[in-house]
Amino acid sequence: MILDASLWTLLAILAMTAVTVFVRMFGFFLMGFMPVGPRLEAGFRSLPGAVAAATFTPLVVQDGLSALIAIGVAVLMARAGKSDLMALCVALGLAIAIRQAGF
Amino acid sequence: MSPVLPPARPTLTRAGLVTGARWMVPLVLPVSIFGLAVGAVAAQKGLTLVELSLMNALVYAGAAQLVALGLWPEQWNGPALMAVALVTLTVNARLLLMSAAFRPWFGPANPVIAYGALLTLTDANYIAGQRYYAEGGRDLGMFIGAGLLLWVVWIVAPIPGYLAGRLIQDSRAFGVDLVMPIYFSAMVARLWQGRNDSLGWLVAGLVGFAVQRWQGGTVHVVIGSLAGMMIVALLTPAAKKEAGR
Repeated sequence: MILDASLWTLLAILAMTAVTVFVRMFGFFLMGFMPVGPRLEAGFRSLPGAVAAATFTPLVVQDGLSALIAIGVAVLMARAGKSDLMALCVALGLAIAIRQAGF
Repeated sequence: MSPVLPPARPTLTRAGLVTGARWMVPLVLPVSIFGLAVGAVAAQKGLTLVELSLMNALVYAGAAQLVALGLWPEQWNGPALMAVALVTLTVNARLLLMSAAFRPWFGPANPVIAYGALLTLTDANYIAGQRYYAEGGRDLGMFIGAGLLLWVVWIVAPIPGYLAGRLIQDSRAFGVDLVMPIYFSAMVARLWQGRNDSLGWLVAGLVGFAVQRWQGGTVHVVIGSLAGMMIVALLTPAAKKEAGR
């Protein structure tokens, strides 16, 4: 039945939960013992961009023109002071158009 | 440049919760579609609806769940359980770095609230939260509100996917897969502060790409981001000039 739950599946879900809660908390915990100097602070401040670059570069290379143009336009619009939402709408519109055109 | 504020105890307000939820509104549709897919895969793998919903509520990590469901065995044993836990840990390892990055903001808060807030940590409220913090925001409610909104979406959306099987035939033509990359890129573009960031992010992208080519999987996210973060840290002077160490 779709409402049952088996012991092994529950164990697997609990194991997945445990490791995920661990990574969610442990970085913050560790940093409690490490003084955050200017270097580390600058590193953390630039980390979101590094995460985005490391995640999206393979995606852009694999996906090609639509992803490249969409992300490039969004970045340029954000730098030009447009809102995130407007950047999203324009970039997504372009990507859809490029894909519908068969690229 | 954001001013250097003394570590004040961060607040947690209702207005902050609403602000955070608002930041996530553009992501509700793509997260829902991802959720539908996870629901459909879970149905194929023979999970019950209770098991699926429990996983969504407790694990709340889409990519890790999808990869773990890919390894879901028909017959369970110890090694299969280890494999599922290990792949979840690998895919979610990036959260360790993100969690560390919240020390300056959450550190002065009540630990129960700080660790409770971190239970809702995902890529989305990490990036939005760091943007908010860089702009001077200190309300913990923003982070929690963003996390809770997507958490509810993540519990609800997989259910129709589970019941209906494959609903979305070709989401690629409508660019659904690009919503998160585009929105995140726009958000982080505003955090750019000069040549150091350009270099660090370039290295992160190149290392991420190379490791992905070489290893596959998701480890490239952690290695690439760490490489970029280290470049920026090393390019930064060890002590601020005003500090006059």
